[in-house]
Parts: sequence; structure tokens; C-alpha cells
Amino acid sequence: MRTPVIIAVGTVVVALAASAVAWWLFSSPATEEVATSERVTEARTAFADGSVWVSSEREGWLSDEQLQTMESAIGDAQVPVRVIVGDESREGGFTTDRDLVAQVESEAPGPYYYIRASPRTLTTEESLVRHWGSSGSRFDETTEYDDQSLTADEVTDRVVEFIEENGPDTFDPVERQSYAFWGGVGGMIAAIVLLGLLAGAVLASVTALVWYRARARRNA
Amino acid sequence: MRQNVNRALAGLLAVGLSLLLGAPALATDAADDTEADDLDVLVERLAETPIQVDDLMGNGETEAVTRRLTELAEDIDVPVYVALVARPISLVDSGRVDESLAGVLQQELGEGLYIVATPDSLVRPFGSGAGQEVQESLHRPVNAVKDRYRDGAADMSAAFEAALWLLAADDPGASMDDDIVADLESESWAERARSGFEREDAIGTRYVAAGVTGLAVLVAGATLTLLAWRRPLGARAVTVVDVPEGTFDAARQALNDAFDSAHERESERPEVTRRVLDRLDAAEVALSTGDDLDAVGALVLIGQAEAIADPNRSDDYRPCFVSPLHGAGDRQRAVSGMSLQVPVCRGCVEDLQPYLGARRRGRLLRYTEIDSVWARTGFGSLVGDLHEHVMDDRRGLR
Repeated sequence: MRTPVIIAVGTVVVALAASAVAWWLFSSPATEEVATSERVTEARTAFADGSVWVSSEREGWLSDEQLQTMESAIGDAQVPVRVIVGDESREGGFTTDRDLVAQVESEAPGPYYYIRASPRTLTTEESLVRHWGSSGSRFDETTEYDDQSLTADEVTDRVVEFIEENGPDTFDPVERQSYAFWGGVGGMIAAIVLLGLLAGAVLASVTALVWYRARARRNA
Repeated sequence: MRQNVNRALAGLLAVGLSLLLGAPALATDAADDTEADDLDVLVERLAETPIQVDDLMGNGETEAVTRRLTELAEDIDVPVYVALVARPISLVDSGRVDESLAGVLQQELGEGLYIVATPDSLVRPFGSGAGQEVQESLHRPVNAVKDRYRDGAADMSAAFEAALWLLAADDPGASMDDDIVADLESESWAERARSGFEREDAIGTRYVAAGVTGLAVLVAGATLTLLAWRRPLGARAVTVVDVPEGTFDAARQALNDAFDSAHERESERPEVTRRVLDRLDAAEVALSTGDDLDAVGALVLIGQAEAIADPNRSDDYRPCFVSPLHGAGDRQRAVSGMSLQVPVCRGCVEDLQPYLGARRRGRLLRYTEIDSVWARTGFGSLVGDLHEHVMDDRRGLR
């Protein structure tokens, strides 16, 4: 009578302890909080008031008139679009555009479509939208201008054309999914249940085998 | 050599820039103005403050980076300029932006050590005049540190690399002070910024690892609990009793009496006597160990011999499976741990009487839990040739 109770209580204690150990083992620098960079702070402030943010390294590249043209196009079309005028950098406090957008949206909530414009790149989709779980609308405007730079006018025109060509029906961003690597929270729970049951079955079999063998040896 | 290349590139660049600025088809007037201002503004900023770090290159902590680089540059004997900046629009189409940028800066600002980088270039030192000699002596000590990072998980930030070049330039040609390098490495901006997505994935993996581990232990524990619960179900209704004291002496006495009787009858029924003696010999062997269970086994074998010798009894004597001390097992019933029904005594048919057991390492166990010929044969209740099992067991055959 006592043995099952001891095993049951021991199981709960060991399960909690094992979870704590696993938690500790999988706590690495990668899980530590990522600092908010100065660029993100700037971007949040800019997007609180408008739809276009000019990063400091590209200040002055577009004229006020060109910036206003973009703002008007977005306002007139009433589309959830934000424009980032600036360069991509792994040194800028975030690793990619996706990180920038994720950090910005944590305080200036989306979902939005983001267009990044710089003299070398005009990025509208994929890298910025993919991880928000687009509901099907995709754009093929991702363009790397490796051997030819874009002028301020060219960029302004392209952004405005792009917004006018694609109305509210096309711009259909979806909230990004948390823990995308695991397929969201549901995927994480499914993984825990599936892997937990499998590992539990293996663990039970091995423990029972060791237990019975040890008992047989002891009683011999 | 490198200085000559840089000068040549700077000259080419100057020509290229003049062509670029003069080409009306390339841009509007507004864009031209911006491009024209672009490098001039950078040169002006560097002339005023020789350490220029754009937010884009500051790894999220531009002020701290600028402050540290300024400190490191203070004691260097030659003029030092650091430009960690966005790619100037004027150099958007340049293939080697760092060399082009350094060339322009050297031309505009004069001799010195230049450390330049853009997001899409390496962090490299360039030198002219006195700065040229310094620059040539920096590679060995800096590369020694960079080699440590080559296979590591973390990427050095441009700011950290620039700091290394400056540290090396403080004492050209000498190895760098490990303590200062370690101090720089400990700066939060020394590694390239981590991705928020990597963090989220890592946190998700941590949840999954902890969850899977906990659930696996719970599942295993629950399974084992059920197994442990199920095992004593049959045993809960019974108790276990040790072999009574004096059993060994009683068995020895009974065996001696049985041998005497057998020898007295030997001439009457030789075949029966042979079968009786087979059992008694096995009992003799069993008794040789001094173990209590063996004494009980000997009593069973003596009982079987007596049954054979008595013409009024069946010669297939089987004891009660639960305990041979209960007597003959002339009924059948199921008991815990056995897949088939086993012979039991009359008392055990209704309610299991105490199991015969023995102590092993201080614990009183049912005899069926103790590996022996008695457990395998149920003291002969499960087999018809117990004496052969005993002899084989002692000979090590079973």
C-alpha cells in the first residue's frame, strides 16, 4: 500500500525538479531580454504620429515634400502600411528588419505591412511580412539593387505606385504568431504532449526493466 | 603599397564623384544636393569630432560605443579618425566602399590612422603618413583576437572590432593587454545584437524542454505507480509467514525415519522402494544447505515418498501452492502472479491462507519472490518430478 503512494509523491517531486533542471539547462544568453535600441525608440515615436519613419542615417535623403507624398498616398488609400526609410544593419541594435519591426510593434501595435526604402534596397514584403502570417496576399516587390542605386524620386514614386496599385483588399496583414518556430502556442503544447508521452513511455519501460532486474538479483 | 592603392582609389573616386554629380540624368536636383552634401557632411563631422558612430552601427548603444572609442583613441600618437557610418549615398554604387570612403577621408582630412566601416563592409584600418606605419603593425595583434571569434557562436560587433584596432594602435607592434581586451569583450555592445526572434525561439524551446521533461517523468511515474499498485492487489488479501522454527530439525528427523522405513520395505516392492529413495535422496541433498525453505522442500519430498510407499494413496502428491505447510493441494484456484490455476489446500480455496515466506536481507518475502527451485516448481505443486528438479538444480542444470 505504501509503495504506490511513495512512487506517486516521488513522481511529482522528481517531475518538478526535472522540469526545473531542464529550464535551467535551456536558459542561455539567447533567452535573456534583448535591449531596445535607439533606432527602435525613434521608430516607435515616428509611427505613433505618422506612417513614415526616416532613420537618422537617411535623414535628408528624401525631401519633406517626398515624405509628405508617401504619407498622403497611405492616408488616401487607407491601407495598413508603414514605410521605413533607412538601411538594414546587423549593428543597429537588431539583427534584421524583422527584429526591428517586432520591437517597434511591441509598443506601436500592428499588424502593418512594412516597406523599407534605402538607396540600395526597396523591400516591401517577405522579410518584413512573412513572420506575421500573411493571410495569402503577397507582393513581389522585394528588390535588391546590387549594381544600381535608387534615387529619392524613384523610391518615392515606387512606394506611391505600390500603395495605389494595391488597395485595402490586398494589404491584409495578420497578427504575427508567437513562437513561430514551434508553430505557435498550440504547436508548443502539442510538442510537449507528444514528446512527453513518448519520452515517458521509454522512461517507464527502462525504469521498470531496471527495477525488476534489480529485484530479481536481490532476491536470488 | 596599400597607401598607393588608396591614393589611386581616392583619385579615381574624386573623378567618379565629379562625373556622378555632374550627370543630370541620374537624379533630380534635390537628390543631387543630398548626394553632394553627403560626404562633405561626414568630413565636417569628422574634422570636428574624429570619432563618428551612426546609430546604424552603434549596436543599439551608440553613445556608449562613441565614448569608449574616444577614450581608446586619446593616447594614440598619430591623428585618428573612426567612421562607423551608413554607406554614403555618393558611394552607393562603389564596389569597395571602405576603401573608397577611406580614400576620400584621407584626401580631405590628411595624414593619420583611419578606421572605417559601413554595414556592408569589413572594419578595416587605413593609414597615410605616420598613420601608415602604425596601421601596418596592427594586424598581427588584432587578428590574434579575431581568430578566437572565428569559430565561436557570437559575432564580434563592428564597434568591438574598431575598439581592438584602436587598442592595438596605442602601442603599435606590441601584444594587446589581455585585461583590457577582456574588459572590452564584456561590453554589452561587443557582440552583434541578438535577434528578438532567436530569443523567442530559445524561450519556446525552454518551455518545451521543461514541459517534456516534467510530463515524461509524470507519465513514467504514473505507469510505475499503476504497476506497483497492481502487483500487491492479490497479495493484499494474504499475509506472509516465515518458516516455523524447528522445521529443519523436524525435516532431518522425518528423513531419517523415512529412510529406515524404506530400507525395511526394500525387499517387498523394489520398484516402489527405488522411487521412494529417489525422493529421499533429493530431500537429503536439499537438507544439506541448512536453509529453511530447503527444509520445507525436503518435507515435501518426504511426503511424496510416503505417498508412493502407501498403497492406499495416490502416488502423485502435490502440496498447496500457497504453502506446502498447509498440506496437500487437492483444489484449484487462481492466485496473484500466476496465469493458470494452481493446486491449493482446502483452506486456501475460500480465502488465501498465509503464504510461506523467508527473510532476505531483513525483508520477509513470499517464497515465490525468491529465485529458487521451490519458486520455479511451487514446491512441486506445479510439476510432477520435483526430485529431479532439485537434483538438477543442485547440479547447476536448472
